[in-house]
Amino acid sequence: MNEQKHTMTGAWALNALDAAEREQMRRYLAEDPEAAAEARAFEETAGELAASLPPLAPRPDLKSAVMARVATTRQLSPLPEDDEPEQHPEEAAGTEDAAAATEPSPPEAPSATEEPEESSGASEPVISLDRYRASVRRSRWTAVAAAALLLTTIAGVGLWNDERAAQQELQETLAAMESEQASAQEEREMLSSILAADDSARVAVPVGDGGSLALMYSREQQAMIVQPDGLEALPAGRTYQLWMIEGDEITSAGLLEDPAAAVMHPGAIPEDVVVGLTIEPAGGSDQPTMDPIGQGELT
Amino acid sequence: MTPEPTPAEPEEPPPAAPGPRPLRGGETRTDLPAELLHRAALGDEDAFSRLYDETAPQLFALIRRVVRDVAMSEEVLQEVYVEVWRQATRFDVRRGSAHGWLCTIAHRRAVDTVRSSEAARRRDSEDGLLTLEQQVVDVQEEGIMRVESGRVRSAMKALTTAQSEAIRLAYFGGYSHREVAALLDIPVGTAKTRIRDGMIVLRDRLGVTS
Repeated sequence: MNEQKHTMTGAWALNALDAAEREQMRRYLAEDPEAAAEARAFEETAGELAASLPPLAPRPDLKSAVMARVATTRQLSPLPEDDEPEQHPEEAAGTEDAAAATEPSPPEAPSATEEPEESSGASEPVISLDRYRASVRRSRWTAVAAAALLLTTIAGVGLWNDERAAQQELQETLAAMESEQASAQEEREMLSSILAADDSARVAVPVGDGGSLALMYSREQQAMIVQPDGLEALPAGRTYQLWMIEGDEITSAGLLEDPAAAVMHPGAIPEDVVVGLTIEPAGGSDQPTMDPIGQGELT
Repeated sequence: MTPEPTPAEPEEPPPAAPGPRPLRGGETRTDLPAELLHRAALGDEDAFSRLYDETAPQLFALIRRVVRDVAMSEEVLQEVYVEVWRQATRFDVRRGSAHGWLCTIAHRRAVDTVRSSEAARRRDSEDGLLTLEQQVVDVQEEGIMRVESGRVRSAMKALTTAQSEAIRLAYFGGYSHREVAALLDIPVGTAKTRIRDGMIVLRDRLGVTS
């Protein structure tokens, strides 16, 4: 937390900052959810102060003027992402005065900046994921998504290569995460890109010795994320390994070296393939050396 | 899971003033302005018209208090409602009350107006501070130090004089924290701190949760 800036939350909420400071503060609030929450509570508090004033009815004809302008004024897109108030062509449309041109109106700034602390993505298009996400700690998926991106970037696997824009977005997000300043908004966008496929599906796989695997996958996107939950820690020299099992043909789907960390498995997902989990010697095996302790079919 | 033992709540009505009733988050879930705002976001002009009727006197009071000039205040009020219409789509009830949202828009627009006309005036003035000091006297005469609502008044009493001065000058006076510092003859950092510390007290006293 930046003490210097954090003390400005009060002045921010009372609009007592000059334009440059306000802009600085807007950026700061975007990065610091704690300060953003405080600033928001202060805005509510300021509203209480306003409510303590005796109401004062404006001249009645002002209303007809307002309604006439409203009738010819287009409303903003509900998505803050599109919003660049300073250059927004619509900004000039309804507001002629100089103040309006230089200053975006208030709730736009907070709505863009305070996004990070909103973990509920109800306004996001990816509603089908909400339930899934709720069951798994979001941050883990973020890490996995970052890993997925690395895989596609480094290995050149053709994931999402039909969607360069999406990939670019992912890269930006990864960069932001590496600086540990990622906003939840960006995380959501990244997760959406990975998980929003029309055919995304989820399978829960119980594991014999306790714990489970959550498999999230999309054939269309040729991607699978495996999130272990509650797996026992293994003794040194042993590792969990994932397998893709198609009848007699069994191929490794990678190691699960950290039983708490999710892994990404890019590549085609055949129909009715079974994902299995075994315990193998460190470094993994070419073929499983035991019957799976857990397996689930990807229908 | 006990809804409401007695439908007629005998202990409810406080002797409070009939004046402005802020919509406090959580007190009632039927937040009419929020509902109207939501419908306005869907392009419902009738809902917007009702929203105006419900809220304009309160916002106009706030704007007048900050801007003071009647014609200018009327101008600001119109701008504010056009903004409210445009931005209704962005209002998110999970993020705060409709009342708070509307006040934020109105107050910011009022302050921006004051600052830009103030800047113009100051260019003509030999000594900007002198102008400011003159104004603060006006503001006090106008009754800026008077706060009507009992609830807010008692919350204000929990502030130190220094804190409440700074907050009133900033919020009702529309002064920047630099101007507040100049008016009170204190360092800018001190003004910021007083404002924030005071806001923390008010927030807690008024039971605002974020």
